[in-house]
Formats: sequence, structure tokens, C-alpha cells
Amino acid sequence: MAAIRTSKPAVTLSLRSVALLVTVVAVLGAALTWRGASHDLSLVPQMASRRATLSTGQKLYVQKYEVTVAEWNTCQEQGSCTLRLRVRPDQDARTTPATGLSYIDVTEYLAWINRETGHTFRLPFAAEWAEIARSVLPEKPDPTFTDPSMTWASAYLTEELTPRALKPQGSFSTSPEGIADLDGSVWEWTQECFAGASGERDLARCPAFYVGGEHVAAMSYLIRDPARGGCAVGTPPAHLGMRLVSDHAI
Amino acid sequence: MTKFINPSLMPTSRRNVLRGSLMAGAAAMAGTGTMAARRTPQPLKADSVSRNLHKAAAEQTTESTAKPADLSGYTRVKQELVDPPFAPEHEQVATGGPKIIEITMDTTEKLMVVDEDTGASVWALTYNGSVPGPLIICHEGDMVELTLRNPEDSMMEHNIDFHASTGALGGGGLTHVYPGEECVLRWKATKPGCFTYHCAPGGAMIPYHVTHGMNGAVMVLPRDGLKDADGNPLRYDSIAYIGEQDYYLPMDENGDYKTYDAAGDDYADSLDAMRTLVPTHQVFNGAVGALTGKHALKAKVGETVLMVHNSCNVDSRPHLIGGHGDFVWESSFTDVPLSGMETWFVRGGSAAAAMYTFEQPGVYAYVNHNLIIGAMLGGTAHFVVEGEWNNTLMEQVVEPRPFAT
Repeated sequence: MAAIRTSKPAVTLSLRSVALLVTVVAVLGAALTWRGASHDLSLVPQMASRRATLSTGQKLYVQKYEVTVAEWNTCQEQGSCTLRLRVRPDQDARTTPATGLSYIDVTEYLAWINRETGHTFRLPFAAEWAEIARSVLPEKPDPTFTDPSMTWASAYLTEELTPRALKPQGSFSTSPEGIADLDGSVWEWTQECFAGASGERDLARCPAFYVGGEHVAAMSYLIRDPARGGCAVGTPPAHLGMRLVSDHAI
Repeated sequence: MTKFINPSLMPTSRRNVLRGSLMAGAAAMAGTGTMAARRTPQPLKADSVSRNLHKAAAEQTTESTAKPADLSGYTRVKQELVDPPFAPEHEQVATGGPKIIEITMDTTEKLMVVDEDTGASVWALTYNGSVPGPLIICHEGDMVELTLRNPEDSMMEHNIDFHASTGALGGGGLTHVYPGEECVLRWKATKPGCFTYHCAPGGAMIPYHVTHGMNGAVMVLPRDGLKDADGNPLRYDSIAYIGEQDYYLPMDENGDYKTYDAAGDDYADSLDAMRTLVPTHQVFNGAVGALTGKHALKAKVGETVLMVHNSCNVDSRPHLIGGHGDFVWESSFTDVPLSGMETWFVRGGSAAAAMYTFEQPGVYAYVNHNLIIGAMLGGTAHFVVEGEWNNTLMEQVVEPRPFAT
């Protein structure tokens, strides 16, 4: 896993987001003159009952559930998110996690929710995610291969973990902080770049990001649906979604 | 991963067929047993070819010039069929004289999950409850004697066409069984090789049944076993039996997979989806991920696996990523096997065998190397192989590192 960067400030978003934010600020600046700094606090999501305190002492405020389809579509209806999500007839948009999201998609949502609420939500770093999820994640299974020559295959999982079907929010475990579904079938985007050996990388040119879920995975920033199979060794995440965190109380 | 959703809770029932018809009342009074026993007097129009053949055969028996089969010299044995990807107990080299191999298959209709991620499911039509149907193994010169049983609670008529057999539409004309019926068919394995078998009730029902899972493979081994081009014996430690299944699952106007209450309810929608010739799923052993992760195939370095690949409906081009086909029989076992193959071909409507001895540990992906099918439609299986890494065959000399520009 890449270096732990838990101390990074909230503004460490991808350059794409930064560019968006700059645009947004510019637009808002113009808007303020006639609209005023009106924020729609009804858009603020439900946060976990308790803030998480990480081993570094850092405080993290975490959304109780993953962003839902209904929340996502509000962003889309307001013209800030490109993707329109739908639910199956047997699902409720208000309780179904928004999935099928690429990293690009989630940066659109982040820019929008921060603009509309005036808050500074962000995605967690991989280490932050791992720490808040530790209490609900199962113990790591023994690697299938331990020989150093076999690291390329060592992450292969032959144990069946969480069922892959998309379930309504609250269907999986809740952490002591009141954070739900960290061990569910939705993997959550982090802003931790997976850059291989070249180390620190310009986030705007980061080819892949870690996603938080039952097992470690890195996803190309373009992927919305991590199909299984092919050359990808192991079992890819079932669904890609997002959960907001903030360094400040909401 | 052949998954069944509450098979007991949601049995296939005939009520939907009867619902809304005058028959419903009569059925309620007569009871389902009577209904199941009553044979439809008028065969389906689409089925007329095999029907007539069946009748012709029946009429001829009174004045038949056909001689009774001479079964002397044959030994009767039972073969216990097992679920894929496994193979029944068998000899690679036949011992003793020819055998009559007795097998039983039930034509069960079951709701199966095709892709757990999306919840896509199908009312699968199966032999013995699995997709593909079980692998049957015999030797050239043996006879296979199948008891085909159609459970009382089935919705549909079923039969079986063995490509390995000779005559009567591969047995299809002699094996039509309605719910509650059974029949027995005996055929002689005269051609060594891997062959597909499938349900073929007639007309559009044929592809409907086949694309709902009703197909499998028979392997007819030479009596003295498999051989290379020079006649040297080739032996395997295990068989991986892989059935490639194309599904055409109906979707609603939003692109969500539709669900149905009972087998057969999807018939009209399925035909529309099948007509596109574009599968929604093309998977190994019935479902996405049925042979990966927890269900991955297992082997050890130095072991030889015979991969028997059945593809009843669509062409396939299997490739073992990181390995090869040491010996491949795309056609019959009497042909000299292809050797050192990177990718081989399974003609739609056939089964083929490929033999490989693992030389490296790790994970191998066995894919349909139309990679769109392999990676996006589900056509992937994995082998997890234990053993010592061989640095002569491959070594990472330099790990990925930045380079000066």
C-alpha cells in the first residue's frame, strides 16, 4: 500500500476537482453578488453518530451510509453530475447505494456537495478508510501463495467473502462509531493514488486509485463497473460507490 | 457456482400454463397427477419431424426387419454422474470387454443466479440440476444406457440428442418425455472423441432449451487410452469439465433483467433476445464466477489436467493464460492431437479436449480469448496451482521502477 498520508489537509483533491472547485468558486463569487451565500443544508448527509479518532489522533467525521442513488440524482438533476442513476423496480433510490461510479464521477459529486452545502467533504485516504473499517472487516485470510516469486498471485482469494449482490443501506455491519456497511458489497473510492513504483504522483494524472472494501483493490479512475475475470487475478470489487468524510464537524 | 434461489420455495408448477383456461377447474378436480399423466395428443407443429420419426419407428416394430441388438459379451455397469467441473469415476484405458454403462438423468427446471452482481437469473433447464449437464465418460465400443426422467413438477417436455450417437436425431426422436414420464435409450459409442449432448424438443424450443442450460458432454475414450502423434500414451491426473453457456436474458425497457415466476414464462421474451444473436452472458459452468475464487480449479506443478470444453451453441476459442494446450483434440480422438497450442477452437455444437501439464505455480486464467466474452460476459475460469516457481522459465529481472527521462 502506498504511503500513509493521513495528515494531508482536506483540499488534497485531484487537480480535476481543484479545477472544478476553482470554476465553482468563480461562479459562486459571481453568484454571491446577487444570490448571497445561500447553502442548502438539506443536502447535508446523515453522519455517523460518533466521530472517528484515528491512531494518529486525527479526528474524522464520516458519513453514516454510502451516498445513495437519490442523493446522487439530486446532483445530476442540478446539472453537476453527469451520470444519471436508476434503481431496479425492487430497489428504493433513497436507501440504495449509488454505484457504477468512476473516480471522475465521484469528483463531480464532491465538488457539487461542497458548493451547495458550504462544507469541505472529501474522500478518505486508503489508510483512513482501512482504520475506520478495521473493526468490522474480517481477518485477512492467509495468502494463497507465500513465496516471494509469487507476489503477483498472492492476493488471490479462494475464500468466499461478502455476497456480491447490491443491498439496501444498513444491510451489513455497523462500526462502533455508527458507520454502516463498510464490509458490504460496495467498494468505496479513496483519494489514495495507486502509482506503482514511481511513488508520489500528480493526482490529476493518477492512473488508478485504491478503493476501500473487504479486500484491497486498486481501480483505474475510468472504471465504473469492475467486471470480473480476464487477466485480472482475483476477485474484483462487486460495486463502486462513495462515502464522504470531513475533517470538520458537520 | 450453480446457485439456486429457494428451489423448494419456488418449484416449477404447471399452474401458470393452466391459469386462465377452462382446464384450470378440471385440473383442480382431477389433481395434478392426472394432468401429468395425460399425454398431449397433438404434437407441436415444430416438433413434427421427430414426432413422425418416432411414430414411424413405432409402427415398424410390428413388422420390423431390424434385428434385436446382440448384447452378449457386454457387462452392465452403473456410472454415478457428478456435478461439473468434476468427472465421474472412470478408467483411462478400458479393462475387460465392452460395457453397457447405465446412467440416469433428471430434467430439472431451476431458478439459477447467472450473475450475483446484477441479480440476473434464469429459469435454467438442466440435466441433473447443473449447467452444463454432467460429463458422461465411456470407451469406444461401449453402450450408454440412459434413463431420462422428467420430474412431475416440470413445466416442459424434454428429450436428448447425443452427438456421439448414431440415428434417430441422436436419440432426440426416441426420448421425448413429458412431466412425470421416463424413458430409456441405449446407444453404442462408435466414434471416440468429445461430443456435446443437448435437449432438442423441436423448432425454436431447441435453442430455447440449449440457451437455458440444457446441454453437456460425453467423452468417448479410445479403449487403449489417449495417445500422441507417435502413439505414445498420454495420461491425465484430473479432468476439468467446462461448459460454455451463452444466455440471452430478457431486459425491461430500463435495461434491468426481468424476473419470471416459473420456467417457461420467459419464452416469448427469450426468443426476442435470442434473435439478436448477442448473448447477455457467456459463462463457464452456469454462472459468472462459477469457476473462480472459492470455486477455482486446483492443481499442482507437474500434474496433467485434461480440460474438456463443451460449447453447444456458440464457437469458442479457449486460451490458458500463462500456459498452453500441450495436446488438443478439437475433433475426434482418432485424429492426431494438435500440439503446443496457444489457443484452440471449440466449434459451436461440439466439445473438445485439451491436455496440459502445469510447469509453474500461481493463478492461470482459462478464458474464451474473445476477451470481450472472457472479461465482460463472464467466460473465465481460474486454475490455482501449487508448487515451486521456476526462474528459468520466467523471472522478474527488474521490478517496476522509475526511469530517467
